[in-house]
Amino acid sequence: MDRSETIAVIEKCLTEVLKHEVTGLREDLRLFDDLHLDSTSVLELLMVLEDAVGLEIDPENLDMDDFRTVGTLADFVERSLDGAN
Amino acid sequence: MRPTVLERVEAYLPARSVDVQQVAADMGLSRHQARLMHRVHGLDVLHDDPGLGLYDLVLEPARRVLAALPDPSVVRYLLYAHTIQEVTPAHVDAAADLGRLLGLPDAECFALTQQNCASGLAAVDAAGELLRADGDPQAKALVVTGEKPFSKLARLIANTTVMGEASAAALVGLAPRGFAVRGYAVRTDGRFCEGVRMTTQAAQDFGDSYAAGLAAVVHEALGQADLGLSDLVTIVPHNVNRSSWLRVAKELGIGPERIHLDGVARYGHCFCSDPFLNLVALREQQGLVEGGHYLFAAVGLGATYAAMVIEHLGG
Repeated sequence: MDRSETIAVIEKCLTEVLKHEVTGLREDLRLFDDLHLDSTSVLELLMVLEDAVGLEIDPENLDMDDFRTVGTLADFVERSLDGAN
Repeated sequence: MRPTVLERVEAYLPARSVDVQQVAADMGLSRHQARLMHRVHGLDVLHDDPGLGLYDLVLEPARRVLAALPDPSVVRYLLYAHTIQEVTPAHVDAAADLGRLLGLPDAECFALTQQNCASGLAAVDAAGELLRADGDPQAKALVVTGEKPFSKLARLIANTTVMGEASAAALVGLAPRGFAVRGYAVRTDGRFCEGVRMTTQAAQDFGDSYAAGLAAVVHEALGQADLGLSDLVTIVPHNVNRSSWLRVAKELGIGPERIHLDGVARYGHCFCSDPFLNLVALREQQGLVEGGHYLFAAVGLGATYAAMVIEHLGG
């Protein structure tokens, strides 16, 4: 999965969690301050991502720094997928 | 001052159990929100019996505690600690009914509820104060817990936990046998007084300050007992979820294995009963260390943080 595909998957999953269409995400957008996620909807987003791309999160070792921006989340998704493969 | 002592503790779980994700789905949570309760929050099974009445739930462990007493009339106080302020219709005094059904006609019976799920520990503390003021060294108090998650509002704390059914009873006295209370710290942070009706911002602030708030009372209770975290056999927690306890463990600088978290998956969060229920489970599963110190911890929405250090005296 290349970077643009990863961002597209994040847009699709955010659309499901936020219940409105999310498109054209920039990597510097902040999940909490700009996209209005909170600590719980971020976790719901992870569940949606698990289903969408088959990554498996480790609930014992979640680092909220991974969920600062669209870019750090994309890094987390790619890292998690690399670890799974 | 003679310490408050938990002379005997019993707990009860309805036999029927249900999958937490099924309960979550039945309440209208999305598939992902329901899975979150299991994958991230560590909840698995709840005990729940719709056919079991409130009084039958609460009375079961209370009767076992009283059956071990040669003379139940020494019980002068019955404290019913519950999370939800109204567990019965307004004209019904549940605590008085429980006293009557337990055969304690002369006991002073009342409810204690304002600290929500931390009210069980508050009731133990209050019982100790009442007994020290009573004048009769043989007098006892009975603290009972247990309530029904009778609606979605009572059953669910959004994105946090799903409530299960359990009950507990603790005979409180001043005799040196059982578990002596060596420290008790409690703090209420009124910013979060709206409880389940908190604004999104307040809920966020509560989440952000939760670990530090709970860690502070843990340290304070340990300080009263002149102990450190390493002196504890284990922390006996409330079962709100695993994820918040991981944050508290990090805040305390300890590994999660120092907290007895089995109850989260096995029972879910059972209002005020969790610490007592988990203590009884520890006793039944692996035994308790005589002379060992344990720490009860509970948080009530509202928000009250509570920690109680107990020493197992044996007997």
